[in-house]
Formats: sequence, C-alpha cells, structure tokens
Amino acid sequence: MKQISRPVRKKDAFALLTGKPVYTADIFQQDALTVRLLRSPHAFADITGIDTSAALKVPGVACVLTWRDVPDIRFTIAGQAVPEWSPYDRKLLDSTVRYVGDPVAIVAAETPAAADKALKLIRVTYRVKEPLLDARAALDNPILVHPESDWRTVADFGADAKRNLCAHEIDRVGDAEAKLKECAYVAEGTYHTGQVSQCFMEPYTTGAYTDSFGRMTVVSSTQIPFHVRRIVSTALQIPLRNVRVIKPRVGGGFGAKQTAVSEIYAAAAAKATGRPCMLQYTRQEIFEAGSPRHEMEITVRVGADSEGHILAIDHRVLSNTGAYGEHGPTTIQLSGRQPTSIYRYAKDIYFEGTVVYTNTVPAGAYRGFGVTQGAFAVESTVNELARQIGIDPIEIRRINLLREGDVMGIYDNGEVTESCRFIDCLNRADELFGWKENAKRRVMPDGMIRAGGIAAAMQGSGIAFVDTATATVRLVEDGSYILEIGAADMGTGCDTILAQIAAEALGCSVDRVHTAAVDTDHSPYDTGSYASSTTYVTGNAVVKACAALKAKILTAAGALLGPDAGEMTLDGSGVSAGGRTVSLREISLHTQSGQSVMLQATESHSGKVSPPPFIVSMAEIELDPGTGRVRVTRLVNVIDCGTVINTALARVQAEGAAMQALGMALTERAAVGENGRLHEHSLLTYGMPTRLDIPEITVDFCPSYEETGPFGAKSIGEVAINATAPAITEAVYNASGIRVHSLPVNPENLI
Amino acid sequence: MLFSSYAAPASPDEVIALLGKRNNRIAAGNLWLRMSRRTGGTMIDLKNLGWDQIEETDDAYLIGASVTLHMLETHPGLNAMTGNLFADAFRAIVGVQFRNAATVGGSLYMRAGFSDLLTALLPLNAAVLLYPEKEIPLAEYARLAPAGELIRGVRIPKQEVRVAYRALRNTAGSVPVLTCAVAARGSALYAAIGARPMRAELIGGPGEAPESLAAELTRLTYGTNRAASEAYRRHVAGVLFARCAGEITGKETQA
Amino acid sequence: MNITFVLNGKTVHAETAPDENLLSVLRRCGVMSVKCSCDTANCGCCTVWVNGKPTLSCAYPAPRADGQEITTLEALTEEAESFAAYMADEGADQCGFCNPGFVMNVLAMKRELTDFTEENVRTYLAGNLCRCTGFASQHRAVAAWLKNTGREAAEV
Repeated sequence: MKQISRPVRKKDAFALLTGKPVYTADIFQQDALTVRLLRSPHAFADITGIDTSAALKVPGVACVLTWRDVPDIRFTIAGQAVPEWSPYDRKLLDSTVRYVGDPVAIVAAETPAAADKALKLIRVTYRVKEPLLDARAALDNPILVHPESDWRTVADFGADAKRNLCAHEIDRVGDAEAKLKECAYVAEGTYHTGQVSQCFMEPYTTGAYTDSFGRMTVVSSTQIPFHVRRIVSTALQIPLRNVRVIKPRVGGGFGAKQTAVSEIYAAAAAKATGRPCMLQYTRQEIFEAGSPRHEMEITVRVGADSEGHILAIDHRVLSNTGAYGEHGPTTIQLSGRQPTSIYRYAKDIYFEGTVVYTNTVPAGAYRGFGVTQGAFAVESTVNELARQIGIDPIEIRRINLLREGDVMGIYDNGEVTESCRFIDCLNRADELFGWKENAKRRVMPDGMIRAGGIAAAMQGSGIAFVDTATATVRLVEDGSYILEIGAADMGTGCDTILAQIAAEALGCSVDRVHTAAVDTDHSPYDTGSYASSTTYVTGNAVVKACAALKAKILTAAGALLGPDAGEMTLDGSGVSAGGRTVSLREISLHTQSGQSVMLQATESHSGKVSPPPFIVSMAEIELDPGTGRVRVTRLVNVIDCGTVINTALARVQAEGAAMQALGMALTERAAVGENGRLHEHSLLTYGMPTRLDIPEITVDFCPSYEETGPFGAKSIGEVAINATAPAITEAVYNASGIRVHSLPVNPENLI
Repeated sequence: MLFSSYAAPASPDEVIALLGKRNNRIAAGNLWLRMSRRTGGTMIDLKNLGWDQIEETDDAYLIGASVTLHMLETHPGLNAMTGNLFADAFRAIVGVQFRNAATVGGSLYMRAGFSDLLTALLPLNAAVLLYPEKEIPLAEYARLAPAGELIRGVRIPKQEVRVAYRALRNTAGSVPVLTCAVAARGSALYAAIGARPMRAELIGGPGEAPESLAAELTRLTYGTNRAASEAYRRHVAGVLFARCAGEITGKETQA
Repeated sequence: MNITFVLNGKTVHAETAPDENLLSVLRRCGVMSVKCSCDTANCGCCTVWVNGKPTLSCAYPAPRADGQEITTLEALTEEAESFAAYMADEGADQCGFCNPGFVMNVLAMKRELTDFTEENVRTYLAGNLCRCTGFASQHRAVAAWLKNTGREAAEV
C-alpha cells in the first residue's frame, strides 16, 4: 500500500487534541525554580551599577545573576551550521544594553511571586545614551550600536560594526543597469515591510537542570536541538559533551525558535543554583525580546521589452537586524535571490543588500526568511510594470515565469530548475479563481468594491552544501521500526511525514514506523527544522537509511530462507522468496541471539542543490469605500512542492501560511516608538487575524517530480507565505487605484 | 493587579465598608484588572450578592451588575425588544469565554472609551443603579470619573425601539476603532458614538432628523491614537451613522 | 488561603494566593491541558468550564472558584476523541497548543447553540486563536463532526 501522497493523521494527534501533558512546561519538573529576566527599559544605555542585595533577601530567591556573574564572551544565538554566519555580537548578559528588553539580570526563585518581587528590588543605574532607532539612518551614523572591540564575525559577509553594518552583499548576473536603459518599460518602486511577529502559540519555554553525571540538560521548545547544544555550551563555557538537549512537542515556531532565545538564561540559572530551573516568556517578552521578521525597505526597478519580456531587475534591500545580528546576513540573501529569480528572461540582475544594526528588537527567522519581504516588493513592481505595458498581470507571468530547465537568475549561482510546473500552477489558479471575471473591479449592490490580484514566488528546499541530516532506522522484534531523527517537529507533522517516507521505503504501513523524540544524546545529528529542509533533506536521509537497513534485513532473511531461495522481497510482514516468508519478527529475533548483526542503519544527507517549490497566489478583496477597510473575500494558492507526501498536512501548511501573509498584509503591526519601546506588544493590539477575519481559501497542488528529493518531494512550509501579501495589495490597487507601498495596508489612505 | 487578600461579602453593605478602604477593588470579570501591575489591598468579589440575574418588570429589564455580556446577548426578551442589538454589538468582543466573564457592572464602571456595551446601552435610555439606592441616567454616569461606587445594576426601560449597531475594528477581537449605535423611538432619534477614542456620547432627541444628527456628530470630539487618526474617526463616524440609520429605516419599511 | 471546588467531578482542596488565577491553580493540581499563551485574556488556550460555561481560567480569580464546579478537558476524553478524529483527519491539530482550549469551546458550543450555521459556529469559536492552521481546517473538522452527530444549521 502506498504511504505517500495521501492524508495520514499525525502520530501525536490524539495526545494533542485531548490535552495530554506533552509540552516543555507540562513535563518539566513542576518544583523547578521560576526564572525571570530583568529587562532594560532603555533602548541604549551603559549599566554603571547594579545592586542586587535587596533582591537576594527576598525569601525564596535562589540567585540573581548580572553581567559580572556570567562568562565574558561574545557569541550568536542564531541557529545555523558552523561556521556560524551571524556575527558574534551578543553576551549572555552585557554591561551595555542595546534595546528595550535587552536582559540585565537573571532571577531564579521558588515561586513566580518571589521572582517578580526580586525583579522589582534590583537597583540598576544606567548611563542612558541616545539610541539609533531608524534603520535608514543607521549606516555610518555616529551612534554605534556595537562599538566594542570584541565584536567579531567568522563569516565573510561584508560586516563592519564601525559602520553599524551587520552585512553587505551583492549578487549579480549580467549588467542590469545597462539592460534597464535598453528596456521599453521600466517600473520602479520603494516598498516597506515591518517587524512582524510569528505569533506561535506556545511561548518560548526552557527547563534546565544538572543531571546525575553533572551534565547540563536543557528541555526546550526549539526547532534546533543541536544548535542549542552548541550555543548553550558556548554561552556558559561548558564543554559540549556536558550539554544535552531534549525537545518535547513544540507549540509552533515558524522560525522564531530557530534562535536560542530563552535557553541560555534558563541554563545559566540552573548552573548557578544547581536546581532545576524553568523560564517561560510572557507574550509581551515575546514581542519585545523575541525574534521577529526583519524590517526591510526595498527599492526595485524592473524592465521589460515591448512584448512584456522581463529582462532586467535592480533590487536594493535595506534590512534592519535590530540590536543583534541573528540571521541578518542570511535573510538578506534570500530577500534578493529568490524574488528576482522567478522570471526566465531576466538575465541581467543586480541585487545589493545592506543589513544594519539599530537599537531595536533583534530580528531573526520567520517563515519565508527574507523572501516574503523581497517578493512583496518585486511582485508589486511587476504588477506595476504590467500596467505600464498595458497587459494583464496574469499575462506578464504567463510569459515570464520559469519553465523546467530554465536557469534561475541569481538563485544559488544560477541553478537550473529540474522540476517546475510554475505555469501549470498559474493556469490552475486562473481556473480556480476565475481570473478574467474576478480580477475585475466590480461595485457590489451594497456599494462595496471587489477586485482581484495576483503574485508568484518561490523558496528553496534546504541550504545546499550546508544543511545536513541524519536518520537512523532499526527493526524491533515485534516487526516494527523505530526512526530516529534530529529534525524538530514543531507542529508541522514532520515526525509523521518522515515516518511515511520510511514506510514507503520499507514497504510497510506507516503505523509500523515509530518516530523517536529528539534528544541530542540519542538522536542522530541534524542541522534542525528550518530553511524548508525537513521533508527534503531529512527525508532524503530517511530514504537512504531505509535502503541500507533493507539490505541488511534481506541479508539476515537470506540466512533463514537458505541460499536457493531466489529473489527476496520485503513488505510489512516479512521477507518472501520462492513462496516462503519469514516474518520480520523471526528475522529480528534471529539476529538477537548468537548473531553479530544489528538490524539498524544510519545514513546522512546534504543536498548539492536546493530545488525551489513554486506558488501562484490570487486574492479577491472587498474594499469598503466608506471606511477604507479591506476584507479579503477569497484566496487561491496553487503550489508546486514536488510530490505531496501528506496531502492533508501540506494543505494545512499552505492555508496557515496564507493567513499569516494576510495578517502581514492587512493588520499586523508592532512598531517602534520614539523611545525605542514597541507600541504594540500584545495579541490584543498586534492585529493577528481571528477566524472572523479570514476568507474562503482554496489550495491546490501541481506536483512536479524532483529527482533529487525523497520520492520526488521538495518543500512546502515557507513558500506558501510569499505571494499572498502582494496579491492582496494588487487587488487593493485594482479596487482603489492606490498602490500600497508599506504594510500593513492603512485604511485611512484608501478613502 | 496584585492583592493581599480576598473577600466575597454576603451583603452589599459589607462591600461598601470594604470599598471605604483605599486600594481595595472590586474584581468583576477580572479581564482588564488582571493586566494592571498595581498593588491593591483586598480583591472584592460580588459573587455572593445574587446580582447575576436579569429581571423583567412591567416597564423595564433590570440587569444585575454581575450579569455577563453573554447572558445579555442571549436574553430572548432583550433580543426581541432590540432586534438582537447586544448580539450584534458583542459579536466581536474577543469570544464567548471572554463574554462569559465580562460583566455589565465591570464594563460600565471602567467607562472604557472602546466599550461596546456603553455605546449600545446609551440610546436605550438606560440608567445605572447604584448601591445604596440611587439611579443615574447612563449618559450622565458615563461622564463621571470612577469613584469607587458600587454598581448594583442597569435598568433598561421597555420600549418600542428600532436600533442598529456598527463598529469598526482592525481585526475581530481587537478593541474597536469606532462604535456607533442609532435608535429610533417614536419620533425621537438618538445616536451614540464611542471609541472616538473617548467614551461614548449620546446625541439626538425627540424630533431629530437623521440629517441634523449626522451634522451634530461631526462636532463631537475625536482623537488620534495608534488605531486611527482624529480625522479618520470623524469621517467613519458619519459613515457608520449613515449605515445604522439606513438599517433602521429598512426595519421601519419592513414593519 | 484554601479553596474547595469540584474539579472534574471530584472535590479538591487547594491552596491559593488571594490574587492567583484559576489557570495556575489548575496546573498546580496537575491539570496540564490548560495553557497560557497570550497573558491578555484573548487567545482561548486556557478555556475551562465553570458550572458548565466556557470561561478563561487565566482571568478567573482562583478564590472565586470556591464552591464552583470546574471542568477541564481531562474529564471529557471520550467526547474529545470523537471530535479529535475529525481534526486529525484534516491535519488541523498541527502544533496542538491551542487544541485543548479550542476543543473545550467546541464541546461547549455543541451544548449551547441550537442553530449551527457557519456564522454562528465561527462567532462562537472566535475567541480561540490559532496560528498554524489559518482556521480553515478547523472549520472543516467542526462542520463534518457536527453533521455526523446530527447538529446542523436549522432549515432556512
């Protein structure tokens, strides 16, 4: 029976839906000390004195740590493979604070009330400095966010802390400037996207304790168990071998938990007190000191000939990484490479990305990872270009979108797409949406104005030559398999999806494959669940490991079936040959007595390419001309993610991503005020869509077959967020004649 | 808010005695109070006063202070009288769980500018019932500053009324950017405009025409905050009023 | 202070601070299905029933629970599983963190509503936020479950 390309219930579904204790805060020692962080009220200040004596006298307080009590070393909390691409610009606690919310002290106490009381009693003297809050003014500003001499980077991304520069990168092919001059039409625009929050439901939560062997054990809601192990080791200066990370169920991440936001503080408290310690962020802390999307300002020029062939793109991105550079140098790459590389005739592309430090919340990874911001700018400009030329925005894409075998612009040094049904996606979306009828501006009987919009985008599938995954599969004596992975299911269902891949490879049903929980002491290495890598990269490791195990099983079965058995086949019940079958149980038991055979295989995988998935998005909006409010009435997203492994989960990924994009387009905002404080820092004011705000959504797939992927699969999680916002704003343009240059859409500008 | 003790008195006089002490506060739904970081003395719970009932008399509905918004929005008599006014007005107040906690007394005492309840009640000629016995017209009460008074309930006179409600929000569940309720009672026409972002105010009266009311509401004070600008609110007030007025006219025609 | 209440059919005595909320007392009693996500009483992850009515336990003063009947998902496993099957088929469980509060409110909705129009259902469930699904799969699951258990929109 086929185990892929069908809906399979998530293996943890019933535990989650009946409220079983499965998250970090549910399973960690309930008598653990409560950890709280004292945070800076200033955007930029030097700490000239900290008096913790009163706080330490509060009954139940176990420790109060300040910068004097922690290792004096700079590192990064970005989750990424070594050599780390983000600069070493952060200390566990520092004598300078660089944004409102920067941790000043760590308190651990017997009760939350005691910890809160101690926080209030810590006396801090600050020498307050003028903060740098505007990213546009950051480069070469006299205010330096990181003037310290021990700031350093181990990667070559043009960083220069003396210029507030976290990264400066240029990618180019051909000569965009010259080509733009030759173009019959050139559209240009500057676009802005804000620092939006992932709004995962389970707050950052970490428990930490020292085990019976004196090793630091960190239980955490994370996407990156192995990177957390390394980061905690560095931050606390504990040998790596003495750190163990366990990942329970994770209540959503969307990239936010690709940064070790909370782990180092809980571990520091556990180390200092020798007691189990648990830290859970409040929602306000998540907004003020989490890891939101990079704010970007993007200026794009797109040129086309008189037939509408897009020939050249000039794309300049300014990215605000905030006070620290987590994922700054990498998100900027994606903001340029993917958005400019989906048009087949564009052979002249120039991308320049500048990432600056400011005294604001450090940004990080959020689903789409820069592509989302870049695609909003490029797709809006392409829509503008279509208007100039006088062709339908759907037609300009029909002419220009990538076909199989095309070189992809500046994407991964001009990688060729070997699996691409972009045009099929476009045609299918056209059909599902009814583009011709529904793109048109229409005044409804109640006076509301409806119109449609379109955009397209791509992402990647893992980071080629970097992301590395390992899978271990073993046969257990009841004839089932245990699959061990280091990738982190954060609710996406990868534990189930990878089990489906294993089951397909082993010819058994998916309920015979048990995916083990991630524990760095036991699980095989994996860079983690980010960069759209899990299905593609880890999935490939699973395929390889299963093939290796299958060979071992057949060898073991051969010993039982005899040398003349003939060709052997493996299925869910056992190995058959020449009309005889030995069960998996028999094979397994056979190897467990008097044999030197382990029916287990471990294989690793790292991709040499990162095949992009593609999306075409169409949105219908209703503009209220009286209030300027925009309501999305319908969304159609058609995606080529290669083979769809789990049809139900892929659909929900696409639907969920679309609503995050809708929120970003219309309502979500966490803006920095004059003093560096966020105006919006709760789910009451932030503008996350509710179920009363959502449209009818249709998701469909046009699966290509990616030869390098597991059973033809690419990725789905990130690509699905990239095209919806520009499709919505194009619909707004269609309805109102107003081009939205800054998200979220401001209704006041539409009346 | 942090409290050092808790009391659930069996009589309103005991509540009054507790309210005599500074820092003591009544916790109603505790939805907004819990977010305050201030320190208080005794948290006073009204749960033993039996003020959680909606009584119907010959000429009024008497709404106890501890009646929840969800009880109000699902009350058959009130819904029949007002054409589901409260269901319309409360639909986007977070969710049913929130409205099972939020109380009429707590909401009115807060006098929040964004209160959908205040906007909805104003054109119904409602009155606030205080303990010890005192009745204040809601429009007047809404202008007073909170002063530690004990709300016993609200009186909504029985009336023949056509009423419509509209609010503008960024997302459902967030506090409104502007609220508007319009009621026609006999020859009288009223409008309440709230979340300006100031507290709702009632305008209109007997013989008022929609045109004059529309002109009057532009003269109300509006303000700018993160959610919207003053000019936008003034504009939207006119739009929502016109829609509410249109809806009422529609109801009239149907009847 | 000490309070006594009925938790999932059993009388329990618990110690609480005067300003504590029911959510933290319940978690101390080992009831882990109730979650805190927003801190501002608008996500629905902490939903419990107080005397049968769905309420936010994060805002419910714990001392107020004295003498009340509190129901959490732990007491409704069988009924929850019947609905969970529909959620699981849709893949609507996702990260799961909002699931317990959502399921509590869905089960309350089934008891309270009489007319299960799409509009009524969505309005009833509006106080349950979810970031993974974008809600659509939850609505498909609820609709299928209601249909198969004979709860549909009244005939128009």
